[in-house]
Amino acid sequence: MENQQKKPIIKDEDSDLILEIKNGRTDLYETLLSKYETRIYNFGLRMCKDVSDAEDLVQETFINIFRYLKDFRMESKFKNWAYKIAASVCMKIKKRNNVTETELSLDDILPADREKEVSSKIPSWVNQPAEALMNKEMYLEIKREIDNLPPSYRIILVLRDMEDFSTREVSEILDLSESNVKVRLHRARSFVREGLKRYFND
Amino acid sequence: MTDNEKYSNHCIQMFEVYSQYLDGELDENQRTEVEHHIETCSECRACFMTLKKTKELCSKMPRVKAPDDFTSRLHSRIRNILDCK
Repeated sequence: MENQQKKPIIKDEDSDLILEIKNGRTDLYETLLSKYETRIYNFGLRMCKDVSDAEDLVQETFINIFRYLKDFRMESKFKNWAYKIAASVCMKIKKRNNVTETELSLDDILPADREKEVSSKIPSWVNQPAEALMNKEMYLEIKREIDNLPPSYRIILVLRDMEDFSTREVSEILDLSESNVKVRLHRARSFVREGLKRYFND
Repeated sequence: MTDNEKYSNHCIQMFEVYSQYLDGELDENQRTEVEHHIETCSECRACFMTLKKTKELCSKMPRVKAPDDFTSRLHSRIRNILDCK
């Protein structure tokens, strides 16, 4: 088509490996698999909250990656393309499990005990390094709050804050506008914040 | 009374952009406005600080390793798919 301009190839840390696999070096599949399997497995666990579903997600994602790698035009980073596939598999699993979607309103995330939250009382945990706070109990508490997020908010917090994608990348992976990503991310973080605040106050 | 009726419109307006501030997504004027607000509104400062720490804690969540028997099955499944091509 005359108006369809070919997008430039994106060079990233995986480009050489992907090119080699696309050119027939299928023996290199292990390298690619090993690099991403833990990441995608954790994405699956965080999204599905169930080991068996997470394993299904990883398997289905990699089957699709290797099935369609020949069609991958390298116009985005491989990582982003892989997570787009993972996100789409995640949607299928969500549908299979009849997971219902809810919205977070402003009332759900605004500090509930704002009157008590005076400046002289910035909670002590805020001033401690995250590494010092991150024990097993804290891990489980954060996990619980993230698990309680509606899936469409959870996926944005997971991709943005845990998988380290930018707002623009998340909007491309999920086919959402950047402003939608920003609003949902803020609501998701604020929801988790409320839970942590309760945890530390108890 | 709902929670958000306890807030001034300006507090809510600022609250809504805290994440964008933390992510470096605001322009200079907006950044200055947020900074001025959390400096002068004591309630919002605590809210902002806890949100900042929450973001940091989420980013420090460790990953778990997939079970070995699962990864072995996965690798052999992919190998089979590639061999059949």
